[in-house]
Amino acid sequence: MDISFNQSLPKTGSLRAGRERFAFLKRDHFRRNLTWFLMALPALVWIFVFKYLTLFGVWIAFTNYKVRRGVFGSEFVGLDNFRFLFATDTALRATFNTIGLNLLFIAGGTIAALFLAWLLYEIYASKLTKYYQTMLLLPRFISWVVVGYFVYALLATDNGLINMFLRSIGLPPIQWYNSPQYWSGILLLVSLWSGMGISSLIYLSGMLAIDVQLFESARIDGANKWQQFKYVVFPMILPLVVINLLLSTAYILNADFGLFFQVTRNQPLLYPTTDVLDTYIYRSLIVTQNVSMAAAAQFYQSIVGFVLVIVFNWIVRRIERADEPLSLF
Amino acid sequence: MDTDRLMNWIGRFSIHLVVLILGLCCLIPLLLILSASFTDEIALTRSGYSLIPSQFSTSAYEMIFRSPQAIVRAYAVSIFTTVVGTIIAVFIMSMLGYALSRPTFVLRKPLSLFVFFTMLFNGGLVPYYILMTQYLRVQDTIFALMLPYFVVVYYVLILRTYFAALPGELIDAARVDGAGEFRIFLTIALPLAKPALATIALFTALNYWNDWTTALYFIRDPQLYPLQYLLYIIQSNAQAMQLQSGVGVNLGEVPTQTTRMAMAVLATGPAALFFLFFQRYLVRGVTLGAFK
Amino acid sequence: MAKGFSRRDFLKGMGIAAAAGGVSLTGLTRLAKASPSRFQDLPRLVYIYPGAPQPDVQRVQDALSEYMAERIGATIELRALDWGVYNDQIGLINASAEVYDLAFTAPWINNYYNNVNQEYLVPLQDLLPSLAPSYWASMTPATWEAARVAGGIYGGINQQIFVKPFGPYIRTDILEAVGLGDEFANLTSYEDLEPLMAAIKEYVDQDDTLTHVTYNLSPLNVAENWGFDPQDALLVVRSTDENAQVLIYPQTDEFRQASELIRRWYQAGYAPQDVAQWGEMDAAWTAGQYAVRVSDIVKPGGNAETEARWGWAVASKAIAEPLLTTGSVTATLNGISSTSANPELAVRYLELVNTDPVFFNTLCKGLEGVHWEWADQDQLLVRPANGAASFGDTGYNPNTDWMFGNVFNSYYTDPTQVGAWPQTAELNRNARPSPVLGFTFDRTPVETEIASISAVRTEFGDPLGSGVVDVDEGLARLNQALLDAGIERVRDEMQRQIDAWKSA
Repeated sequence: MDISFNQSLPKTGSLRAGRERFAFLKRDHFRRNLTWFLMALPALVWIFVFKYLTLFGVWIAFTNYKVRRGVFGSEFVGLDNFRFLFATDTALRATFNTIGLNLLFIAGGTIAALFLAWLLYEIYASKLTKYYQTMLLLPRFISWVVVGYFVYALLATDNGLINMFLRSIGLPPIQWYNSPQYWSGILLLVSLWSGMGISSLIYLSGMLAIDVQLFESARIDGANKWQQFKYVVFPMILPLVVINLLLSTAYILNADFGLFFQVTRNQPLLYPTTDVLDTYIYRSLIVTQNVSMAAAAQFYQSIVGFVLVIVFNWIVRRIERADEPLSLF
Repeated sequence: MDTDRLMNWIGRFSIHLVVLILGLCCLIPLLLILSASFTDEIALTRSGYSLIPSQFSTSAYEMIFRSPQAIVRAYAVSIFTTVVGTIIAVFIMSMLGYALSRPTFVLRKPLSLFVFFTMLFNGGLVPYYILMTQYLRVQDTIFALMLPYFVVVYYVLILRTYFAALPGELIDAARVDGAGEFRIFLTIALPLAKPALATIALFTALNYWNDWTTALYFIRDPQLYPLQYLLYIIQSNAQAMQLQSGVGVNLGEVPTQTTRMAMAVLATGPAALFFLFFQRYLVRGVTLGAFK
Repeated sequence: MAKGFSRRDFLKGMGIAAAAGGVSLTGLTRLAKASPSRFQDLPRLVYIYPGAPQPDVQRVQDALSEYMAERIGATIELRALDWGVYNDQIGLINASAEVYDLAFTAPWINNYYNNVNQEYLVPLQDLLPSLAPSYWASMTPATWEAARVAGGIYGGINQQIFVKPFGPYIRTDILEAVGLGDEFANLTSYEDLEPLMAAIKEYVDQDDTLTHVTYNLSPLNVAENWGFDPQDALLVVRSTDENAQVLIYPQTDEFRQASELIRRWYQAGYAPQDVAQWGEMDAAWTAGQYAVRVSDIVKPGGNAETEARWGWAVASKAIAEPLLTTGSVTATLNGISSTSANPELAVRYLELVNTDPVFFNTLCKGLEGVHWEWADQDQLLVRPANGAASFGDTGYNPNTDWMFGNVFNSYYTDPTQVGAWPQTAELNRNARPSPVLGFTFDRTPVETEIASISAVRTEFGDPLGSGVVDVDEGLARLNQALLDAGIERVRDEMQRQIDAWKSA
């Protein structure tokens, strides 16, 4: 696919020249690599210092950690600290809920963000769009505690807005906070409401980079909006979609604690569908505050994500086209 | 032709309508927060949220603005960290993202893995705290608030994807013209990636703006409290005061729910205004000409 | 955190014991004119505790330092960390071995048992008797034993209310309106409350502001209400059982009966049917939406305190038997850091703050004539100085006397409170000691089970405690979940430890 940008850069002569392979480019191979490495260096140093130098902390998960004895001086206990993550049905349910809800959020979130980005792209020339975008970003600033109040104001049994509406049209009110079956949907809606504005930005900025001439030619060929999206927009932002999906997979066992704790008001009757690993871990360790078990939980979340990403990355590599790499590494 | 135009107009109109409705869904809760923050605490409990305060009161703001200098200073700290931190972070991350996006970079794959690995595994709070306070010794400085978000691996990998999609022809052409790699990055890659940079800058800025845990760990000096942390402290102290208030100390009126709403207003308002401005400024360069 | 707050609930608004004697009040004049520069060479003790910033803290600190310098040859630095961050910050300070001398610790904040387990604190059982003899003698050996963990006493206990006599609070205006004052005063059990609740329900239905009789049916969670001393993980010991047999609380008859009572109340509509609403209990009380708080701590001065806090005059009646338990005695402690360079001086500080009313009240209320003044010195009653409307406006009012030391030395701040300290001391004295007073469970061998039990008890226990589920069904599920989580292993381990503790 021919990619070019509407820029004020020279388009004809030098571009055509650039398509040919010049011998001196190879000669400069080393120098270029050196420059790239130096450019990468500040961030690499940061990553090394902040992430790798502190990595020894992972070992805490395998010890009965005593601060004064140090990470490696503490007693090694093997996988003992991991037992509470698998010991009961409740624990296993937390893992399954996390995976299920995350798959739902990833699918729903991606589709919604793509859709919204496409809508915004279609009206990007309008002066109103930036106001829309600002509005759509607002929920990001509201803490989950406050979101929890609002969801409650909507769903409360006695004087919640939704139940008042149901009553006014002659339907029986629903005790939302006693009815776990509705909560996958409710949490999906709340998370879309909160995150859609910002996650659509990634795709929108990808769309803004597409050459409008592609649309012109598609229109001349009689493509409707859906076909334009399918054949022009989607292939162009596919790398972004894939990388986002891959990175989301990495967090498959992590859940946004505030969403699941505050928005459900931590109602026990809702746990069957809303209890995720992060809330389960919180409830388990609030009493003992065991550092080693907390580290074990974190390690569990990380290692599963890591393995999944390696697997999916391998699959992506098998199906990607050589000239259009999509994989992480 | 005219029907085409009409259809086009209807199409656009319906898109505006859909987006407007979605936008209002996001805006109305904020208006309710604004109204609730100006409502009397007891009235709020009795009659719930409404777009107009059922009983007007400024006691939540009085509670927060007991020491106005502290709030003003906290705004200054937050704005400084957000602006300077975001500029540095986006620059550092885009350099790494760009290098990792170069197909002929020999270290591309190993370094990608080196970077990605840290997205998932980290040593937890205690090693991080010891690193910051005993080796880097940045506690109680403004750097402590900026350092932690200089690199977010997720954003680096997104940036890498954007840069990889840039047309290789332009870069090859610049090389033919004798430009060095760093200059190519500065003069070609960065301007082309403006929408991406703007997006990542916004994400980073949001991280800085909303962050209060970093201050919790590393800042004891009230002069360096960022806004969100100061608001959190005010809130928690108000709650504690209410719980401890004994006889002879009339604190029964300490507003808690309305204070929380007022805090949301104070934290969101300026950031939203800033975004309005920021958005227009950054995306313009690229999209001019793209839309006729 | 919520757990912390509820625990803190019974520790507020205190005055002083008449037994304050010993130290002359003239020391106070000397306190006022402090010049800290003279003491720069003396060791300085750093005391870390939770509290909101106080504008005049430096003045108070200087005055305290001068007073201390003369008596124990050290000065003090008051380092208050904000309430909401205290737990995290002190945790990091400890974990990174930062140097300090004293810190507030308790089972509910800056967890005492974890601090002992992590070796953050200095053992005091040998230092206290020699360096703080009056303080050591001011409490019975049994009381001190309650703070013993893993063979050592790692915290100085603050003398305050040690018993937790739970019972209902009711708004007096409504009590008068329904004309059941005598019935309320003669309550002996929660069952007795039923006719009262029914009468109030009729009243509530006709009133516009009131929406419910009560907002939260809490008594099930408080095992003291039903004659038990609660231990870890839903295990209890009957307060009258000298053999100290460990029982699984939900398997007891009392638990079933209490669950049934609460279920009846719930079905009668005494509390909001939507349990999610119960979290707004405090806001709804302040807004005057309900009449009864079913189970709070009833204590001397408690009614006045509740009225000051929430704005409604109340009557209260204790139902739970006053019981002295390990948990209630260790609710407020001050520990000495293992990073301290001067642990002996820190112990002498504990002696001073717990036995010297002048020093203690300066720490609690600030300087006489600046922050407070005598309203009635014979009654030890004080008021805000210089006509300030409240203590909150004086520039120094941490208002956490119970955190700093012996609250029986605290000056009264409200006329209705006068005499509360001797009454409290009396309550403590007459309280029955739990058969396991002084026993502390070592969780280490059953950490996994404790974690699993913590996770399931909310899910299956809370619905019983709120009455939203059928008792037979709910109880069966709770007990099954607890068995799956390994509660029997925890019970057996605890029984083993208690038996060993008793024979020691």
